[in-house]
Amino acid sequence: MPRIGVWLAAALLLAGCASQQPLTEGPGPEDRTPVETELVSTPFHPQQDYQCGPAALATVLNAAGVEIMPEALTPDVYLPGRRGSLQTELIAAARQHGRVPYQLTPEVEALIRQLQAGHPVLVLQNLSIAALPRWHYAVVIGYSSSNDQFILRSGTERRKRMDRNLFLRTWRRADHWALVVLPPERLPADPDPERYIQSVAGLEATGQIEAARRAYRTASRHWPDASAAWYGLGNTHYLSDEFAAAESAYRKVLALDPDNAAAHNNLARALLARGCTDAAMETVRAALELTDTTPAIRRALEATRREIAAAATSAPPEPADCPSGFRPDTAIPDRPHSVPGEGGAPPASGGSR
Amino acid sequence: MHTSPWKRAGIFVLMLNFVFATFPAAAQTGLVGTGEMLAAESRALHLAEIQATLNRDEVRTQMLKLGVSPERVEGRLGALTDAELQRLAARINQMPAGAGVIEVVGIVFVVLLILELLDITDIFTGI
Repeated sequence: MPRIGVWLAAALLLAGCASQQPLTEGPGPEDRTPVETELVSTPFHPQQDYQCGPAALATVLNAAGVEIMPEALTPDVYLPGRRGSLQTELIAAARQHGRVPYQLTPEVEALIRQLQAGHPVLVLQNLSIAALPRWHYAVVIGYSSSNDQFILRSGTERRKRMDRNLFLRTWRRADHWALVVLPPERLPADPDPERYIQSVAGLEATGQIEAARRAYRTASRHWPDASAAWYGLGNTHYLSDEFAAAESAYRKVLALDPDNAAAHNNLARALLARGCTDAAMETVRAALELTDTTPAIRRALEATRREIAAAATSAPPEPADCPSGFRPDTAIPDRPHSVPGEGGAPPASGGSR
Repeated sequence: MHTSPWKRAGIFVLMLNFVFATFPAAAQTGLVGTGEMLAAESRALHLAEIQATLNRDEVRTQMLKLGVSPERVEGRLGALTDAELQRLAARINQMPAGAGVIEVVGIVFVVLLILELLDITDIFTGI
């Protein structure tokens, strides 16, 4: 009896689409603070066949100040064999345009907060049932608690209004995936330092050094005690051949986190690049005495020491402004405004500027 | 995708040729990248590099298979971090691919349903 299976399948499909499962997301209707927000100036790109990825990405990139059309993004994010775009590649493409892709925590409140801060939110939805997914990207641009509706740029609809519960169901079936795309000078609403810096590290790792440097600077201003922000700032200065600025940033890391062996390694690299082989060697030696170093970092340190030793044999005289010894606390302020919150760091003890 | 052991061995040997030549900025400069520093358990850098190269090769193969043009494939690979390459290498064919309002699976399903109801196919008997 083939038909029984067919009707069962059809019934399951319909049940899945129409199911009224209770919502677990967020506070109940009576407890919600009223929100009426709509980012009306967000541009709209009606999607072509299967092209909601490029269209939605272009929309959030435009909002972040990048002038681009979906067609220009298609070659970088569309996978013909899957007739769609992967989340990972949307993130990668946002980075390639010098913007910081920041994934939200999977909560509807987090999404609404971004809207209130002026950031449209790229979301993945599953418009069908879990077993038979119909993945769709859209951009949430507004929310109205009085109408209980989200407002989206979606598919071919410029202003799609979706009932809160329906939207939340489709979003939940896509694991609540939500992304904001930010210029390097702007933080998301309610930013998490670890999440943000990790995202900027993605820019650094994929060659977007200038954008990464600006974003690390934004982070180091907002979280002056986040050593990873200074570390990243040091790396991006180094990769831009700004070795004195890199040195200064690494010293800031070590003032906050004295046992950071990776920062010792990179500081030694910066000193070596400046021709300060003595100070570089002292830095590496100090790091090799640290006990809590992972094998990978230890290997990097050993390689650095070998290079310093090789350079020392044939080195020209050291520049006059080399530090005379390894003192992580002698931070050279590279810009007057970049060393807020010195906190418990001991005062600079002479040294050479 | 299932790569044969021989092909894998071949790829591995090829990889070794590249290990010393084609690594990203951080490896060449001796810097420890911020992502690596942040990685909770940075494994041996060298092994991680070989693994990253294998992942990159796997994703390249898959992308070409999925219709990415050969001119664009390197650019797309270069835009991905090692961690992203690892995830794609493992499950590029299972990851959600946002397509939009028209979705081939849905159409195929409806067609199959109709075919089934007309007794042209017999796919759903086992349900």
